[in-house]
Amino acid sequence: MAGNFEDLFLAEYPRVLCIAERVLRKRTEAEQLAREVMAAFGRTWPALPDDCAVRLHRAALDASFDRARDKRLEDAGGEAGVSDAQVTAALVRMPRPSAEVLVLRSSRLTYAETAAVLQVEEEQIGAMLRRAELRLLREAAV
Amino acid sequence: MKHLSEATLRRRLDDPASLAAGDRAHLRACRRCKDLAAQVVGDARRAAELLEGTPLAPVDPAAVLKALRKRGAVG
Repeated sequence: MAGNFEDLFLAEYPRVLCIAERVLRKRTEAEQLAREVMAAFGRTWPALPDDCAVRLHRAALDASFDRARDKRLEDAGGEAGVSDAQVTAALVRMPRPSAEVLVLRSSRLTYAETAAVLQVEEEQIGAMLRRAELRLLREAAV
Repeated sequence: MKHLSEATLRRRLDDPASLAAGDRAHLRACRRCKDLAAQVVGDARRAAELLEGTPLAPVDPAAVLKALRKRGAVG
């Protein structure tokens, strides 16, 4: 989907925000990150590539997990939002593709979109999701 | 007949039409696959509850874009 940045922003900002919020668990932090991701993407790609949505979702995932690792350290001695912190920590501990497939699907990306971001075949997504859900439940001990 | 895989049952949850007619018939008749399907559904729901937590608040991307442009953060 090549096009202009405004079209991309209007179409994809909600999903970029959702990806960040699923990982970071805090709306304010997610909004800040989503805006940074969108702004950086606009600077990096003055002419949008055909696969700009895929690249944008990948950038959102990478930035979210990078921030989550920092956030986990910051939260290590904290006491607020324990359950959210546990989910973030579980996602960070999980194998990255497993955490990513969960975040993408819970951000309402289709199987095809999720497969494109993860660079796997669409037929693999069901198995990846199943493994990832079991891992998340184990990691979060529920 | 071969039992259904967990991956097939997981995909069925998101996309019921993905299940072939023969697999649907097998699932209706096979206790083992029915039990596994119920397990897959339950695990997926519990994982979704963890991940999704509270519903996301609505967002107005046009307003966000306008604010970023005002700050000169995007063109």
